[in-house]
Amino acid sequence: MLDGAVAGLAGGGAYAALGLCLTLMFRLVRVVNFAQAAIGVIGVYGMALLADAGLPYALAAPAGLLAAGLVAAALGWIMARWFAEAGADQRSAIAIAFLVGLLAVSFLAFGTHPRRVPGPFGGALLTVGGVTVTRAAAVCALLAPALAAGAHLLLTRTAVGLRLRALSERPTTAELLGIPSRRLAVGTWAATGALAAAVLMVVAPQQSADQSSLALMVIPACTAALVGGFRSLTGTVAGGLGLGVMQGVLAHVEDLQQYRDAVPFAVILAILVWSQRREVWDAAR
Amino acid sequence: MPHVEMPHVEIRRADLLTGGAVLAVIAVAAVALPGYWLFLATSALVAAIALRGLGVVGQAGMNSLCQLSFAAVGAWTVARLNVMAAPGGLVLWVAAGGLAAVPFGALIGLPALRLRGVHLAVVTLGFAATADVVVAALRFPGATTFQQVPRPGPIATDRGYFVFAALVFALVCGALWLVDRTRAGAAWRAVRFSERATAAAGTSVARTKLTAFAASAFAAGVAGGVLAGQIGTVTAQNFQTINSLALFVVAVMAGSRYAGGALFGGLLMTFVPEVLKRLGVPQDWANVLFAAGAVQALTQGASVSEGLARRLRARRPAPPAAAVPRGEAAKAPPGGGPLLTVTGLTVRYGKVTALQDVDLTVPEGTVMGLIGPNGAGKSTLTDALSGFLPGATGQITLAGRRLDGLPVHRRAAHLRRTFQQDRVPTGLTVGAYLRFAARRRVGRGEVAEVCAFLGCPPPDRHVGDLDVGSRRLLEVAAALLARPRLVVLDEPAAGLTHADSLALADRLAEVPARYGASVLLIEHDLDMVRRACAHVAVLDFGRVIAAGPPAATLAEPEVARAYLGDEAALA
Repeated sequence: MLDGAVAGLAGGGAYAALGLCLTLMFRLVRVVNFAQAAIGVIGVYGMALLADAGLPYALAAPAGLLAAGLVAAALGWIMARWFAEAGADQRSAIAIAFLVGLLAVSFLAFGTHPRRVPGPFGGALLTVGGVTVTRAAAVCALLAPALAAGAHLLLTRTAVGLRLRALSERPTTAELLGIPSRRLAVGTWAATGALAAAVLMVVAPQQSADQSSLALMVIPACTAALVGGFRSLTGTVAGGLGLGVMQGVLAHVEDLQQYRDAVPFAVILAILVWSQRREVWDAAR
Repeated sequence: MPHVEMPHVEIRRADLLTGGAVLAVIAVAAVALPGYWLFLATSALVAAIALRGLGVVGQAGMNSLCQLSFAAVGAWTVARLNVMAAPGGLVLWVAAGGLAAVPFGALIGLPALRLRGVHLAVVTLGFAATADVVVAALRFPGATTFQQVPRPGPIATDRGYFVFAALVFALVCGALWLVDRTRAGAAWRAVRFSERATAAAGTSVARTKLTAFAASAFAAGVAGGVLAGQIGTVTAQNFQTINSLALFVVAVMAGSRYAGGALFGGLLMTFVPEVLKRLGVPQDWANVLFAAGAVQALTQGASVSEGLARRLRARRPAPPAAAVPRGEAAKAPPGGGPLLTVTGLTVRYGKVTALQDVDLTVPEGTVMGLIGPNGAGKSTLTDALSGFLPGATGQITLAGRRLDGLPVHRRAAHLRRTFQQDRVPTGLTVGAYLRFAARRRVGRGEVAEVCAFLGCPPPDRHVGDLDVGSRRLLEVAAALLARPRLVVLDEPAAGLTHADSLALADRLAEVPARYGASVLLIEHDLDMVRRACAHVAVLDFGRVIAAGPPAATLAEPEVARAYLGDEAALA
């Protein structure tokens, strides 16, 4: 059981880190970026392609991150160019189109067959009392809180963070004050895109790494972000890690094994519906 | 025999054109297409049925990303009934598949009652992923034993089955077309625009959202059932999450609120990959094209079919506005016994007390003004009366009925309100909005009468084409048409010229005699209040500071001080 919980940390950390990207994107540029993991897939598969061609990992990985960042920046530019005034609903609908389109592009560019993804985080890190902690699990579980702390510091302590917050809370006022909204928005897209690629580069070597299932890792990531209400960084990390641990534990329960991806969703849905049970109207007045 | 109310059906030329074109395309296809293409065309119809269902949820302003999960329920039901050798055959099984999907639709609709927009979309996506897991684990009945779903005699051939699928598509679209013209259909479009306005018009927001999801799931379930009959044995592959997402993207691109749009979308989904294959181009380009098409459609703010419908509408000349017959300008009568009695009404927002022990009586058959400076609590009072503030304490009695504790849409049967903000759903025509808000059967004559009384635009105009002032008058007309006991108007003259405001005041003074409703008029324009009202109550800092006949009340020093400050009152 404990073994399963620890093993689940790898997935959970990835959900949390991707969830953080989603929460930041929603807070800063008003979009639930359903294409977040799909952007990462471009980076991971780009890296795998270069590594297969003989490039050393130390060069292929940064190239992959760059590719993901560029793709994200391009998508962010489309969003900022044509949908700057659109609401979160519409922007998120566009993100779904990005996901569907990007996955198809990935199939076109890299072929439909899953690739073997190289990575430096294979194998066990340590074994304590019969419980094995893999390197990937350790990296993911530490990465997510570190990311949350870093994002928090960036937003609250730096000049760029201040501008980003101003832009997210009062976009028009911020623009009138001369904050370059489009540049910051595209920058946010690029940074979270590269981040998503980095996360997937850690987990992809450990699991079935076909493009669809990697791209759809955005679903548990969304669930994690939903636990934090797409606002709280801590809530997102807790949601992601909790989800991963729950899946890990359920993998060891024979009757529920095949439903392990479904049960956490039901639990979280129940929590959500309960926590939102008070009637709230769509407009303040 | 009970009297059965038929929905008020208006047949527009655009609807006839679309319907006719769709039927013609299908008829030609049934005769002319060779076998393989006919099979593809059947697939297009299956997708079109699912798309048309998706259009219902979209119409209600929600995004559903799990349409194929509902289709899986339908297909699973058909496969299960087949393995059980249930009576009735495929045709009945397909209907059963649709019905089986309905509870799942309602289940997914439940979070929609509290979660909105993107949060809801995330939940539907999670449901799709969950359904993937469950379907893969359960396996479709008969899939391992290759037990094909049999097709009965007339639809056994591919040509016959195509006609069957076309009939199902036509039935689904026809049924939704009819519903669209009823109050339920108007409610779907109204809830997209404003939940508050929908509830204030006497319609339950919860029921509206649930029925939208249920109708959408039904269509998807039917589509899944038809698919099961088409390919014999279905597998989990047919209903994957990514396919639901692609369906959503195509719906955004083609627009699935209309039968034509749904059919166009279905054709795109089936034939674009096929054409690409024949051209030797990888089929994945299809999804790239759909994604680009959806983004393009959203930059235009409308899908392909919506854009077309808008253009058809623009071509028709706008009819001239109806002339307003001048009535006798008569001050409202002082009124009879108490109609609305409010006692001890208190509303707190955190530490701020917006209303403090408000006692207020609105007499029967009169127009009463409620005035007060900004922030006095006038709109809070309106919200509390109409039920938007469940935290309010105190008693509200209307014609002997206790209103406190009732939800908004139930209070609306006796008490109607209008909003300071523009809350008339833009997706409706004037006539459809008035019938929707009336919550009862109203004839053309009645609609025309109230429109003429207030000088509203003619019933076939679209609300979206009207200026703000006309929309506010329309909101008042809708409130009157519902025949409530009390109408609360929250600054109805904002956006009107001074002359129009005074004309409206004259009209409001006639309301009690004409429509049997008292009016509580919240207004800043004191000229209008003097002209329309027999009583005035003055609110300041959440308390009633004066009440009585207008001239005397407005002359009280307390009132002057509230409005103008201490110095002005002393001077």
